[in-house]
Amino acid sequence: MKPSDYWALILVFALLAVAPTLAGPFYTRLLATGILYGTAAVGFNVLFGYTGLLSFGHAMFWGAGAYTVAIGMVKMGLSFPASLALSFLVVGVIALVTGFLSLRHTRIYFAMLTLAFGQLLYAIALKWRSMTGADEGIYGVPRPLGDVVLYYYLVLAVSLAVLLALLRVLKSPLGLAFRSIRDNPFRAEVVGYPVNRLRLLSYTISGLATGVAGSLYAPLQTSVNPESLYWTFSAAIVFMAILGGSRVFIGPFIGGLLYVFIQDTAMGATEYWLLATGVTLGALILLLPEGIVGYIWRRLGGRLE
Amino acid sequence: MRPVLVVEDVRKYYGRVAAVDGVSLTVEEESVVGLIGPNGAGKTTLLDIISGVVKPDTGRVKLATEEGEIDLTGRPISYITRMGVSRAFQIPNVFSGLTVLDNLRTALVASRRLYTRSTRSYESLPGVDEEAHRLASLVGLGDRMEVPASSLSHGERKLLDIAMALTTKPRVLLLDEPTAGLSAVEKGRIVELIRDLRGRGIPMLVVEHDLDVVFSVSDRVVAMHEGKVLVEGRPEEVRSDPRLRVAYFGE
Repeated sequence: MKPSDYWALILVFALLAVAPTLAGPFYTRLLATGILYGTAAVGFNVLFGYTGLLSFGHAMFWGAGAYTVAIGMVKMGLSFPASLALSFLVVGVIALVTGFLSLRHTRIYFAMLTLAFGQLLYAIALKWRSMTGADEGIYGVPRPLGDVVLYYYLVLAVSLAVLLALLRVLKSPLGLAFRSIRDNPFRAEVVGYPVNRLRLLSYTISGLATGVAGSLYAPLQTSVNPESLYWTFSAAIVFMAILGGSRVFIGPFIGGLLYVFIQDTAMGATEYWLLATGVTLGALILLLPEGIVGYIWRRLGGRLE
Repeated sequence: MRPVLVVEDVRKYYGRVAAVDGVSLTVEEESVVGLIGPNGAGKTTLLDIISGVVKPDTGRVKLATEEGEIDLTGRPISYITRMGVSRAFQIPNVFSGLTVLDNLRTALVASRRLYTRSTRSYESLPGVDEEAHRLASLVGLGDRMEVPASSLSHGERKLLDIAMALTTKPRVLLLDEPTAGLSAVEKGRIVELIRDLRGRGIPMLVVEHDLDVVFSVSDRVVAMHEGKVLVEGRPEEVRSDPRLRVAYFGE
């Protein structure tokens, strides 16, 4: 039987659903972080793997989501659901504005513009002390349901909902349009697609998915800091997508899970953990360009996107 | 016969060089117009202007429809395609990462504007796969549906390109060098296809280097030289016109 995107998703989430019974609170929290990283990376990959645009600023959506929830709950006294809704709105507006401006270009110029907008948001978070707490960030974000394990299941459920929604989009005619634009933007224009508008739509969907993941991250950590907006996290998201494989739907999600554990292990083992992740990425691109999941997928007879 | 596509006094300069220098031509319903001329005559630039890839400096491009005349001059490519001017390319331009079936599906999704109107799987859109199979059979690719376009031969890619151009049910079809780089057998297939499409009432503007192909499929031939129309008329008239020889071979 050829692997299917839906079955792969169900299998992975079934395993994640039983995981907390085996792992202690520390690893449950680490796993929740991995799930959110993975969801952010799948969101990123809607734009990268499926539409053919490399964003180097996806931390802006992650960080904006995290900050808005933290500000909503701590500074504005909003409930968790209201803060989530607010962060969805904020991330959506940021995506539309930065997307509109960045998508005047493609390729490296697009990547550079997204990087610039990401750093702009980072600079704002660093300077706007009264709202963002500057370099210290915001502490004391209440965690809904209190307990880490209960919150883990909330993270799991929301992530599953986000991924199912993205998969539905990618299997719909819109997803076919994205893949056509990735493959040959000029031909896509000639067959009648409004390429620029569809790129903006892809960018916004991608940013929103990453933003939702980020907004669940602040209550998990019970804090948020400017690191979440810094460009190195944008790079980490790119890394996760390539690590897992950008040509399989579930690939970047597995990439996010693996990244958390690589980071945790490498950070514990050596202070040169950044070097270790760099070497891993280099080796991976040379040896397994389709990513870990991509490789397994192809071996099982699945079709790469 | 009623004109479908009307090009009026179109000019395009690159710096001080006129690629197209005041060209007018008309494609009438149920007819094939062959466009010939030596390299650099401005044929492809003219197709680029009609299909919206290049904006002309002056002149107009108009399309006659049941709802009246539409001015296409300088409009975006996707608009011109939706209004019914389709184009197949000299170098076949397909989605090489997608299968033949998905190439046709995506062209149909675009022309029917299903991309934001349906949340169904693109593999089960009503009417789309039937039409994809019909068009693939029409051009002779009916048994190649699951093959990635990157694995097709050059000739097959040309056929797929034409099939994709047909997904919009075009009012006019522009073919840019449909037989370039093909074997004699493949050329025969294209000639047959052009005749078949003409029989189905699709007007065509065919740019072609192979004069035997042009003279055998066209109702009218327009010969361009240095950006201008040199000779125009029925194939046998143009073929025997001495100016044509001069343009191609010099004095």
